[in-house]
Amino acid sequence: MPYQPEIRRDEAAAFLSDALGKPVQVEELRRLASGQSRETLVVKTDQPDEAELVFRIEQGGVLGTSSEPEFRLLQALHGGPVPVPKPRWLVEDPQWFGYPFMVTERVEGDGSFGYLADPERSQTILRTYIQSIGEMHRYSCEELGLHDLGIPKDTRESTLQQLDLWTDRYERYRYVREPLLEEAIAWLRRNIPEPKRPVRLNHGDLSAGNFILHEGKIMAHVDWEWSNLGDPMEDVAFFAYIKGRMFGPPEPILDLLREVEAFEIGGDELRYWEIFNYFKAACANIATLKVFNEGRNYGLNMVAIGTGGFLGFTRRTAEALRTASR
Amino acid sequence: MRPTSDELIVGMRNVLEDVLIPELQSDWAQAMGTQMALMLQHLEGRETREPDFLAGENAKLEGVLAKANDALGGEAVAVPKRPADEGLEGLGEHNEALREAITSAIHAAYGQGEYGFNDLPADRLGITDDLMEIATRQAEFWQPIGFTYPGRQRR
Repeated sequence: MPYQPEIRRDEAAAFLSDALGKPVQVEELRRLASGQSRETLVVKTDQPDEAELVFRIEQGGVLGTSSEPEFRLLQALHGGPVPVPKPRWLVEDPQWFGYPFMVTERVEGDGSFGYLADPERSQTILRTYIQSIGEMHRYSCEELGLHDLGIPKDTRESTLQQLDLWTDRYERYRYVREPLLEEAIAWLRRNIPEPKRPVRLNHGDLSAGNFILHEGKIMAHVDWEWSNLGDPMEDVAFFAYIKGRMFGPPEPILDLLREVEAFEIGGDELRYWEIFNYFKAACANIATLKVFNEGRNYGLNMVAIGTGGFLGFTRRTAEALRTASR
Repeated sequence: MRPTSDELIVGMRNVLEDVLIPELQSDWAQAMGTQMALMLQHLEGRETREPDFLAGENAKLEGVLAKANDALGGEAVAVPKRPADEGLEGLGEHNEALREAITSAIHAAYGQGEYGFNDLPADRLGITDDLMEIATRQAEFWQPIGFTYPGRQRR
């Protein structure tokens, strides 16, 4: 499905007219150039009482996710202590954009990360973000109103669920078997950590660019498509070893996380979650190649992620396994 | 025949980089244009490179499987037959079969004896370094297509 601004503008206007039950014109529409799994459009309408809206359009299964669980989570979280954008519509019907999509209200602030070029500012924002991660993990699933989402009985059960989920994506999207990744799957199944802490809300993709910043405050966490109710060590390791590298090396980030998290961070458990997250990233990346090759999304970034990204994370999975074993 | 496929690809890449990309207005279009140029670069010579690459990888995988089977002894897994067709399709199918067999060997090794947190079947089979080398060569094959983010701008 091609991205053509004028067509998208008409499609967005048609959808909003239908959803709001009155004629709506789109005054501004821009596509954000980041975000691999969704085509993300910021839309301003001619309706004075309507907020700016963010359309997140699926890309035919890119990174192996769908909108529905993310939308349900936003509905549960909105208005609570973990800040998220207000969800407006979940639309499964492909008639509007060719794929299912969800719409949220745009949150005041900035999600870009030009601040990474300014080391001092970057470290200040990193501390603020890590503080908000600690807060996210402090609340029980019940306190966050997530009881209807199916809370696993303990972190062992939730880890097994996550393993099943990502293994299933690997099986569905791979072309050939990667013996090193298969070995990792077997190792991850054999070495699930014993439950030591309560199940918590995991964002799943903590990253620069996945929060909205305004006047030094985190206004919202966005891009929840990999979220789950599980062992919060997953989030800790994901941020420290994968996306947090945009801010700096893992060890100082882990030290900051130790200051805000209510559980011990380290040892075999941390190593387990580091390996798990590399495996997860590899599985997510291979999905993009399939949707490109089947013509469901011909964004050329899909090829780069599905080849270089997949192989890179497969290698990191195998290397981390070796670090664990020596 | 001239121009050859490679000469045409180089010409298209030059036009893309020198004429078209500078005229593109949005971040998204520029990111796609850059990715396209990288892919054209990758395509140069691929036609002749790919069969050699696959044949070389298959030979490596056969060696890995032989080593794993030696270590497995009585639990050795079946060795896939070489294809009659040495074209790309046949090489691809053989590659797939070899990878399946090596995966089975890893699982068979996990079935032998006790494994602690720090034990890995590929290490016990003595095939880790070979598999890592194969993975590295795979990544090299895809150069210069890499994992790059287009210009990052968020709401």
